[in-house]
Amino acid sequence: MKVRLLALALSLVTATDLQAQIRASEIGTFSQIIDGTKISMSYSRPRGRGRDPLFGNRKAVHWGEVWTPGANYATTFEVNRPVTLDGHPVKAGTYSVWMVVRQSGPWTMVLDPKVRIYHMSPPDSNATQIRFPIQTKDAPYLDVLTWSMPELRSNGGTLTMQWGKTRVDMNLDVTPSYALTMPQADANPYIGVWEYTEIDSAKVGPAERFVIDYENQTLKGRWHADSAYFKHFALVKIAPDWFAPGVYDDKGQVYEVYKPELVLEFTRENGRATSFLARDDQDKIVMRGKRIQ
Amino acid sequence: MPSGGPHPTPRAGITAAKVLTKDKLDGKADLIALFDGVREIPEVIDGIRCQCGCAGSEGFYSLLSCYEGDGAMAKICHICQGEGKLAIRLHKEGKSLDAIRNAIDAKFG
Repeated sequence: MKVRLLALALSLVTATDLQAQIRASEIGTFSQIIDGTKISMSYSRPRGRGRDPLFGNRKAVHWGEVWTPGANYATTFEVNRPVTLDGHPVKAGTYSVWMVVRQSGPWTMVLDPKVRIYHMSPPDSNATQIRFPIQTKDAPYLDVLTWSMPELRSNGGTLTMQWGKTRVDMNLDVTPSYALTMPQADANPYIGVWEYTEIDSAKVGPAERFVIDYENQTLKGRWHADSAYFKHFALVKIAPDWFAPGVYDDKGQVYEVYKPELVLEFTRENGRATSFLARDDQDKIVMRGKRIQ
Repeated sequence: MPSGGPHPTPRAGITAAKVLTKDKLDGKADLIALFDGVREIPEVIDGIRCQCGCAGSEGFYSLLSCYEGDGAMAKICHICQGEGKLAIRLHKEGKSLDAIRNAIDAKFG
C-alpha cells in the first residue's frame, strides 16, 4: 500500500509540474458577444521585455515579416456567425491571424482558415485567405500584446491589437439579428394614435396616449409620458404582429432591444391593427392598448 | 433556427412523469401552476429547445428537461419559466408546435 501511495503522490506532482510553466508569452483569450455573434481570440501574449522598438527590430518583429500578432502558435480568430472586418466578409469559422509588417505604408491583415500553425512557419499567400490592408497608428506604450474591443455598437465594434507603441484598429460588423427598417406599406397598419393602460398586478393604471409613426423607414413609438429613457423608440418586428422596443442612443443607434422583457402583440381587424397587449418575459400582460385614431 | 441549434423532435410516448409536482416546489403558487401546465402538454414542451443556455447540459433533451428532477432548472430560471408560460398559453390558443417554436425563438432567441 505504501508503495502505491508513493507512486500516486509522485504522479500527482509530475502532472502538476507539467501543467505549470512560466512562459515568456503567456496564453490569453478574449471574447465578446454582440447581438448573438460571438467573437473569440486565443493567443500567446508576448511582453516587451525592454526591446525597443518592437517593430523593425531583429529581436522582436522585423520589417517584411509575416507575423502572427501573438507568439508561439498563431493567434486564432473565431466567429460563430458571419462578420465583416473593415468591410471584408469573414464566414463563421476559426482562422489563424497574421500581419505583414511594413516599415512604411499599410500593413496587410491575413486570416487563414488553417489553424495551429507555429509562428515560424507562416502560410504562403493563397486563395483561401482573407487579406486586406490595415493602418497602424501610434499609441501610448503597452508592454503586453493585447487584443480587445474597446468600442462597441449594437451592430459591431472596433477590434484592436496593440503592442508597444503600435496600435491597429479594425471595424468589425456583425450580421444584425433584426431589420430595423420596413417598407411603408408594412408599417401602415400600425401607424396611428393609441390609448393604453399599464397593468401592475391587479391594478390598472390611468389611460395614456401612445403614438406610432414612421420615420427613416422605421416604425417608431412614443409613450405619452415621453419617457426620458424610451423617447422615440423603434418598434422592432420580431414576428408577425409582434414588436419589441428598440432604444436609441444619442448618436441615433439602437443600443438595446427590449425582448423578452416587453413585447407588443398586435391584433388586426380587416388588416389594420386595432389593439395590442404588451407582455413581459413571464408572459404576463403589462399593458393593454387600443387604437383611437 | 433557435440560437445554439434546432428544436428537438418530441420523443414518441413522452410523458410528464418526471415533471416536478407541487410537493417539490416549496408551495410557490406561480411555480406550481406553471409546472402543472407543463405536465399537461409534455408532447409539446418536448419539442422545444430552451434558449437559456442549458440545452448543452448533460442529460438535456428539450424544454421539458428544465422541468424534470430535483435540479429542475425551471425552478429558478426565468427564461425556462417564461418559455413554458408562453408555450402553455399559445397551445391553449390552438397554435401548432411550429408556431409555438417560432414564437419562442422570436421572443427568447
